[in-house]
This record gives sequence, C-alpha cells and structure tokens, in this order.
Amino acid sequence: MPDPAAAPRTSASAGLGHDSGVSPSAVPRRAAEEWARPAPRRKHLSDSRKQKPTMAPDLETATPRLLLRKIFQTQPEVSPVVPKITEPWEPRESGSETHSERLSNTSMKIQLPDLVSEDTAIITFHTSRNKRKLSISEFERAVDKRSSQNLAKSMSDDKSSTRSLQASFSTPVPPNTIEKRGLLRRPKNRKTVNVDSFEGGVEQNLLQIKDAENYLVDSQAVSMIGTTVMMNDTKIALNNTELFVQPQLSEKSQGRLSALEPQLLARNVLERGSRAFNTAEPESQKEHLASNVDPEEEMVPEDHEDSALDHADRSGPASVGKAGSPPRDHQDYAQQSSYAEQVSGLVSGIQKEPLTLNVNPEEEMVQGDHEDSALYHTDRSSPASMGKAGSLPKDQQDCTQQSSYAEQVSGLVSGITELQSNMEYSEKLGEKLRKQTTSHINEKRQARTPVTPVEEEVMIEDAENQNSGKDVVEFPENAGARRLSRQSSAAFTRYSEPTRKKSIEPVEQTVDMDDGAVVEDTSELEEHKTEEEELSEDGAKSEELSMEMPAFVHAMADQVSLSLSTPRSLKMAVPKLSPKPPPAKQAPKKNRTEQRRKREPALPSSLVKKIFRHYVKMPVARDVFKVVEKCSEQYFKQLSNDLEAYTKHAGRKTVERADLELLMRRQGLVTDEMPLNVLIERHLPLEYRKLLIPVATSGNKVIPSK
Amino acid sequence: MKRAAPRSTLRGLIKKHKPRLRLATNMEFLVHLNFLLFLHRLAEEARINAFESKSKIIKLEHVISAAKITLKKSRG
Repeated sequence: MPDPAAAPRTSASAGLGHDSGVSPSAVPRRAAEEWARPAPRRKHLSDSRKQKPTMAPDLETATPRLLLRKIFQTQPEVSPVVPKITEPWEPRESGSETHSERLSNTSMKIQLPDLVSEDTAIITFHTSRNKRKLSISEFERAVDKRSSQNLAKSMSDDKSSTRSLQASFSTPVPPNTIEKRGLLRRPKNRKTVNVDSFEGGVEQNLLQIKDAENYLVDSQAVSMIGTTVMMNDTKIALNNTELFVQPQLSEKSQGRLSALEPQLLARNVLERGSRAFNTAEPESQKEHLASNVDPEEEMVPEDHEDSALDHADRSGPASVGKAGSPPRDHQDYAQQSSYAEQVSGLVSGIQKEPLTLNVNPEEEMVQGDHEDSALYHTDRSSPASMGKAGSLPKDQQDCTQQSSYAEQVSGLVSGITELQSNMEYSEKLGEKLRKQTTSHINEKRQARTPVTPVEEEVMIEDAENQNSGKDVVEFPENAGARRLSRQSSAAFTRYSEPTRKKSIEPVEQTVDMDDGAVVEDTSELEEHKTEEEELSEDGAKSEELSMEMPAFVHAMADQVSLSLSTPRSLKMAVPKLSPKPPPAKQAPKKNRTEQRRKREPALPSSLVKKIFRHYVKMPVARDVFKVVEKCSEQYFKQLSNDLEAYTKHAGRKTVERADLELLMRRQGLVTDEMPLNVLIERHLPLEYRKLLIPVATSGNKVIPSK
Repeated sequence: MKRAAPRSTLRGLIKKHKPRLRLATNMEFLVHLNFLLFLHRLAEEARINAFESKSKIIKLEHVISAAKITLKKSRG
C-alpha cells in the first residue's frame, strides 16, 4: 500500500540505492502486483472513507500520471525529439525496445541512469512499503539481469498487458535521460554559426553518442550538412551561369578568324589572277577578264586590292550596283537596267556598257545623297588604272607597273582634258569630295588613295560630261598600249607617287616635275627621268589644267596629305612602293599578312550564305549569293546612316537600344503587336537574349547586373 | 546550326561607314537581329518571286527584284 506513496519519494531521490533487493524475476510479478494493488487499494479506499485522508496522498501519487509528473519535475530537461515521453503507455513500448537496443549498445554510464530510473519507477511502489536500501553492486547486477530480461521480453512477449506494464514502469525516463544527454550537447552545437565547427561538433557527437541513441538527431545533422553543401553547389552553379559570355567570345573570335581565312584566300586568288593577267598579252586581256571575273566576283566590292581588270569590270557592276541599290528618288527602271547590265558586263567583260549606263543614274544621283555612289563610281571607273598600280606593287613587276602607270597617266590625261570644260562641276564635287575623302580614303588602300581624289574628280567630271565613253575606250586602249605609253606612264608615276608619299604637291607641281625631289623619293624610278622630261610637254598641258583647278585640287591635296599623314594600319602603299624591287621575296608575305590585317571589315560570306539559305529553304543558284552580299553591304550602309541620324536627333553620340528600336519600328519589324523583346526571343540564341533582356532572379538579383 | 554573331565584325562595319558613331554595349546583337530580319525578308521575297515564276530554284532575277523591294522597305 505504501508503495505508491513511496514511489514519488524514491523517484525524487533519484532512485539510487533504493532498489530494494528486487530480483529480476520478481520484476514482472511486481509490475503486475503493483498494477493490481492500486486497484484493490482504491476499492478499499472507496470502502473505507476513514482511510481516505491517509490514503488520499497515496492514491494521488500512485497514479502513473502523477508518477510521471514527479519524474519530470525531478528531471526537468525534456528532449523535444523524443515524442514517446508524452504518454506513459506508448513510449514505454517503444521505449522498452529502444531501451533494450540502447542497453545492448550503450556503455555502462548510460545504462545506469536508465535502469536506475526504471528501478526507481518500480521501486516507488516498493520502497514505500519496504524502504530497502541496496548496495550499488547489487543494483548493477539487477540492472544487467533486467536488461537481458527486457530484451527477451521485447522479443518474445506479445502480450500487450505485459508490455503495457513495462511501459508504465520503466518508461520514458530512461530514454529521456539518454537522449537528454545527447540533446544536452545538441543545442551547444547548433548554436555554432560556422558550418565547419557545427559539422565537427556533429561528428564528435556521432562518435561519442552511438548511433542507436541518436540516430534521429544524427540524421537531422546529416541532412543539415547536406543542405549546406547543396547550397554551396547551387550558388556555384548560379555563379557559373553568369560566366557564359566568355566562352562565347572565344568562339566568336575563332569564328572571326575562320572568317578571315576565306577572305585571305580570296585575296590570294585575286592576286594570282591579277598577276596572270598582267603577264598576259594585252590582246588576251578580254579573255582574262572573263577568267578573272569569277574569282573577283567573290571579293567584296569595297576591296580594292583586286586586279585592274577586276576594277574595270567592277566599275561597271559595282557602280551599277551602287547606283541601283540606293532606291531613293530614282527610277527603278534605270536600276533594273543597271542590274541587268551588271550581269552582262561580268560575263562579257565589256566595260563600255556599264559605264555608259552608270552615267544616267549618276546624273540623277548627283542631286542629293549620292556622293557615295558617285564616288564609288569614280573609284570603280578609275581603278582600271589605279587598281593596277595598287596591285602591281605586290606583283613586283616593273613592266607591269609601268603599264599600270601608263594607264593611270592616260586616265589622268583624259581626265585633265575634261577638266577644262568642267570647272563648275569640279568645284562642287571638290567640296563634296573633301567631305568624303577622309572617310573614303580610309576605306581604300594607300596605293589608290592619293590618286583617287584627283582621279575621282576627274572621273566624276568625265561621267557627268557624258564623256565616260572616252574613258571606257581609253581604258582598253591603255591596257593594250601599256608598253607603248611607258613614257607617259613614268611621268605619271611620279605624279602619283609624290601624292602617295605624303609630300603632296598639287598636280601642277608634280607635273612640272620637281624631278629631283621626286627622283630622290623614288629610287626605282630613276629610269624614268628621261621620260619625265618628255612628259614635260604633256605636263605643260596638265599644268594649265591643273592651274585651272587650284581650289579643290589643293583642298584635295591637303585632305589627301592629312589622310595619308594619319598613321593608318590599313595603308600599305608607301612602304610598298619604296622597297619594291629589293625585297622580292619578302613582299608577298608582307602583302598577305598586311592584307589580312588591313582588310576592310566585311561580314563573312559564309555566314551570310548560311543565314540566307536557312531562311529561304529552297535550292539557290550560286550567283545569287553575290547579290545577297552586295545587298547586305548596301543594307549596312543604310543602317549606319539611319542610326547616325537617330542618335544625332537624340543629341547623343552613342547608339543606344532606343535608337535601334526606333529603326526597327520604322522598318515595320516592330509594331504594337510585335514588341522588340519578342523578336529578340524568337531570332536570337538564348545567350544573347540573356544579355539583352534583364532577368530577375531570386534574392533581388538582376541578370545582367547594371 | 546557327553561328554566333560576329560582334567585332559588325562593330567594324559600322565604324567603317560612320567612324565617329559609337555603339553601346551589346548593341551588336540588335544590329545582328536587324540583319537577320532583313535577310529573312529578302529570302521571303525571293521565294515569292520564284513561286510566281514557277521555278523550283531561286535564280538571280528573283533575288534582284526582291532586293530592290526589301532595301526600300528597310530604309527607315
């Protein structure tokens, strides 16, 4: 009877040594008895009210609930992890099993408290009656025996009653103690901020406290560790995504390099073609025209390294193209005719037709924004003579050079003759040309540039005066009569060279011949001294003519000098001209490498082909691509003009996104229904889209960051 | 397989025409987009012309006439 009363007392005392010689075998009996006792006690109580006041405390304390309550009070720390503690019955069942497992694995320390608490729970019933005091050794023995018994029981017994009894007595306390100890350490570890220290602490815990007890906690720790690791990985992944641009750039550079190669190859082909042409007899010139046309057609029209024939041919087609392409205030018919002529001209190699046709569109174009076309026309028409001069130095053939010079001379002479009647035009054009020379000279090779301004004027005037036919006739004649007109050519080489060589003198002067200066400048032209003298006769004419055009010629000369003086990597003429004969072997290498560097930027034709093929989705004839290329060049010209206009209108110097959007809107590509971002998403690959359209990601991040 | 946009080539092209004009960052892609759309329109026009002339191959004349129209359209 006094057991229930004694139970809390004994539990309060932490139950050491209170285990009255409870034999392990007696435990189950006692459990059953103890449960049985309260029942009869209560009955007794109910029967005898007198005993109530005395019995009341016993009754109250006897209930397992109260038992637990007191246990909790004595052992305040509760592990939130273990849910078993809430109810006595349930936890006991699991607790017994876990306890048995723990007991099997744990050290003596842990066993002691478990068993002690168990014993105290049981003892409470006993000590109140008996109040025995046990020795520690006895206690330990009992503990061991009980542990084995518990194991056996948990394995074998299926009776819920026994288990429940067990649950009631040996319940939650032991597991609490064990887990509490583990949990006692836990909070300390969790407080640490550093992942390393935390992980270290967790590992230590794992080592100290064995898995059976703390597997729950350990799993949590492991999961936490895992999450931290994952966090790092994801962060790294996120960081990596932002770095995609760099590899792309490398790819692009490679693409660019690869794009450069075809252009270089084309260059070489043209060089060889030009050489072949130059060495051929003039009679076979037209034959070579056709042969050179094909490789030359591959070249970009802006590329002035082409052979003379190429230029001659291109003067027609290119100028026609340029004349026809800007579809501004001019007749489509004329353009159509010019295009048709372009094709025919390429095939036949006839220079007359395209040039004559060019006259009409040129005249129309003189009005407004067609300085470009006019200039290009002149560039193309003049190149017959100029181009050879430019290309020949690479070939390093004096004869051919002379012949080229001869052509130049003839061209110049013809031009000068035209000048007499066209002063007005020359003045106007001179002004225009002044504006354009710097830009255009930048585009062309040095070999050509000094000659171009003057010859441009000349050719422009020729064209305007509808005397282009003469030039056309003269060019083939010149080609045929190269060797005959060496003398004149020599003089004009002087004429051209000084202009090239930054020591620019007006045409008059060159013609007059500061022979000494010129000769000094050009060692290779020593042979031509006599010829220069002979040329003086011609020079007289040219002098007069040149005198007549002092204004713009001087201006042009100044412009040319300025342009030439600017150290441009693209310019090759001066260095080329001087060391022509001696470094015969080194020149080809120089030419190629210099060409590669100094080539004008142009979209790789392969890219254009690919894109066009992809969009067309039909078989395409080969000659179509050249037209497409020229189209795209014209397009870029228009594009740059428009963009410049828009940025200037906005008072800026840099093209911004708004300018491009405005351009696309005016082109009809961007509408209210079709915004720019949709177009970006449709046509551009993902990497570019990411750069252009800011994306918001978690953590208030915006990619690309501003 | 599409190739990467030649950024520096595009910049150089614009600089060639307008040396004083500058390009903002990543604007080359919009220029490239514009160029793609231009080629797209050109290809469409050429295809229409080829259909009209009942030819299964795109020939020079188709492209030339298409180019005229397209260049006019993309004047802005």
